[in-house]
Amino acid sequence: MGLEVAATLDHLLADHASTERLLEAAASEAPDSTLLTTLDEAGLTELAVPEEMGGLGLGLDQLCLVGWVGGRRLMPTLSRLKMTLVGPLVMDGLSGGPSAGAPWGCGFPAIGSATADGGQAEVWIEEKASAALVVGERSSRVVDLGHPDSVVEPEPGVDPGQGRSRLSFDPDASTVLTGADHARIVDRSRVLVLAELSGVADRVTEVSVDYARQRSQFGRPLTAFQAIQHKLADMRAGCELIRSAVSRLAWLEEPRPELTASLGAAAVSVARQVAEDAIQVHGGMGFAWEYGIHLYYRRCLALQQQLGGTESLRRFVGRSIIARRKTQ
Amino acid sequence: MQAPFSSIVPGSVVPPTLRVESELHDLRLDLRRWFEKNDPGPQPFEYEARMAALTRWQRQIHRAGFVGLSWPTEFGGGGMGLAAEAVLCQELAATSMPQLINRIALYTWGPTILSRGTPAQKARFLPGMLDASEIWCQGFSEPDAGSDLAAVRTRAQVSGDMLVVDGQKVWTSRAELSKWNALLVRTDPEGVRHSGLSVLIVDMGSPGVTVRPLLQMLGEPHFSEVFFDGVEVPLENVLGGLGNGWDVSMEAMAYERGLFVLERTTGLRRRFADLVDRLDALGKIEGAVASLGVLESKLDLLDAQVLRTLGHQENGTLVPGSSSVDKLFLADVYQDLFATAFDHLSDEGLDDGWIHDLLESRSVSIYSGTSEIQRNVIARRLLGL
Ligand SMILES: Cc1cc2nc3c(=O)[nH]c(=O)nc-3n(C[C@H](O)[C@H](O)[C@H](O)COP(=O)(O)OP(=O)(O)OC[C@H]3O[C@@H](n4cnc5c(N)ncnc54)[C@H](O)[C@@H]3O)c2cc1C
Repeated sequence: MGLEVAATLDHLLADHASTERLLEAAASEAPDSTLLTTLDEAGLTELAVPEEMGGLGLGLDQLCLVGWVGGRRLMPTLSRLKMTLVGPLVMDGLSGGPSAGAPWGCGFPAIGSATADGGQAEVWIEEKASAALVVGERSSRVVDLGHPDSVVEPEPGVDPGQGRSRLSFDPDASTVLTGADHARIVDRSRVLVLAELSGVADRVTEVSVDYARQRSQFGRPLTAFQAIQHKLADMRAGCELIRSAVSRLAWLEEPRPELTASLGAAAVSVARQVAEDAIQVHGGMGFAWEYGIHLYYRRCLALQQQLGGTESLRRFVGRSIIARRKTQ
Repeated sequence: MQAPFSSIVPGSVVPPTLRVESELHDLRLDLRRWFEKNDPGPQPFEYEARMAALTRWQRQIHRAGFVGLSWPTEFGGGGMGLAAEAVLCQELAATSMPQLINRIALYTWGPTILSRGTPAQKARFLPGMLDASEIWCQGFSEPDAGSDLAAVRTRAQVSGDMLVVDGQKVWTSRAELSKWNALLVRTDPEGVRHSGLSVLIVDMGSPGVTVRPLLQMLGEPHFSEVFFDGVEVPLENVLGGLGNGWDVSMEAMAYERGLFVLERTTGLRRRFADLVDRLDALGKIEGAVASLGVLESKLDLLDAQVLRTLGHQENGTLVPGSSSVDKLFLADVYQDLFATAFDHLSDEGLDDGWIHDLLESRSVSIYSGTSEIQRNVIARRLLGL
């Protein structure tokens, strides 16, 4: 099941998210609404929803496969958020609001700093969205974007074209969602960030190996130089490590949010190094807008930020060691 | 042109890793109880005393029935899966002596004999590995064959039902303690590079074997030069068949990167806990919180990698060359841990143990294939370069 879904997603993205289209979206700083609608219609928002609630109920390992494909093809961030958060959270407790497949805004619960209570949030917003989901660790808020106190300021940041914005809202005028499954859904959404990173890293490594094979200098392909071979080997090793992190989390019997945080902190650094090496292996081509290698780098950086920012993630993991000692 | 989807999905995007959480709960409790009662206390700092203490420790653990958990019962093992070994490693890590002295035997040559050995070899060699009555070493490197292992020149000539070995090995760890040496030699003088090599199981007590200990960086006689001068080895001690030495060695190296790396990893966990304790006692933990976070997350990532490798080993789906990733990352984490400890403890609290471990950590990117060689392997075998 997961494999078929992933193959479908792969084809859709191959057709609708070519490098040119991705670059266009990045330049226009607006999410590609045609693509988002196409993916909604393909049923992306239902994948993580349990079967008894009318979804497809894919297991975490299968969702990771889908997320991995999304990473390879630089799937819109909003599509991941709708698949992992809007779908499962909204299906679980909203009446009268937009359906999960309608245009939405959605935030991502950064590790260690996630509350949904302030009147400020970073969200990703599609055109025509009427509501935004501000996700916290144990509860979320649905913010009516039509409310006079709801103000959206675009803040594209490092990975433009994804609809990233700053939302100010009146917490008292929003609807609170607290499902029994909330924490589990949040943990899964973080594991899916790692699955996406795994796809990004794998793809940019493949692209780099292909490039190094066909580009010649000094009368030899770049792959003949050991300095380049070793860089590519480090990249591949990084890919394996990230994949192992995803596997470890995907096969746990019970979610372990601390392990998600810890593996997440390690994986984002590894992925970032992979993407940086990819640029280096491509030389000037790696730095060119048109060739699009920067899109992989941007995505790695953006995912790193979403998960919690390097320094705060590290501190969060460090603090949890101390907290564990105190309870022992 | 777009590759068909099936060709890009490696079938193992989310490969099952070895599960160690809920399975084997009873074994874990048994181990925990036993270790709590029998922990021998901190290992002696002095080398010889440490080796002796480690030998006693393995014997004791074996007597309690916890060594060789994944080996078949007919050879004295526990008949369980690799997950049981992983649980042992994890629990052992919480003790004062988180290593088994005969690890070269347990994690590398035991599994190789189980896979390639004759029934007689299994019966003869496996039991002594488990109770540490027969320590093993591995004779691969030579003065002119280090990274370039296929250049080995130590030779063995067939003479009747014996092989006669002449040559020299170097950097052989724990040679002076060992009963057996898994020795890579050239048995076909015409053989080029990877062909014509064999692995022999050599009795270190045989006439003609001379061991000359070498001090390593720490002043410890950790490894030796070993000389072979007309040493007679029975033909039945060829492991995996004459001329198959390269394959046998590579298989052994693949085992080494599973449990062996796991064992090193759990040892690192132990030292990490020591570091946290030390910083706490010195009131320096707050200032080190981000560094500790980095180390913890790298250790978790290393665990994840090793558990995945073991999962593949258990299922017989390990991709050749992939375990080089484990070795490469082990060296990285190992060196990072002790460098960080040195940096955070330099003002006060740096005892000889930390200095010892920092210096020793430099060996991890050298032994059993340098980090450069691991990168070469990844480039060749995983990337096809
Ligand atoms: C603590 C310790 C224990 C050991 N125990 C054992 C043991 O029990 N049994 C045993 O047989 N051996 C053992 N060794 C030896 C170890 O396997 C070798 O040291 C190792 O394989 C490197 O070989 P070398 O020392 O000859 O270095 P060299 O091969 O001379 O390498 C020197 C440097 O050149 C680099 N280099 C070499 N070739 C290449 C290449 N093709 N591409 C890029 N860089 C290259 C290396 O990475 C290294 O940085 C041990 C070593 C140590 C440090």
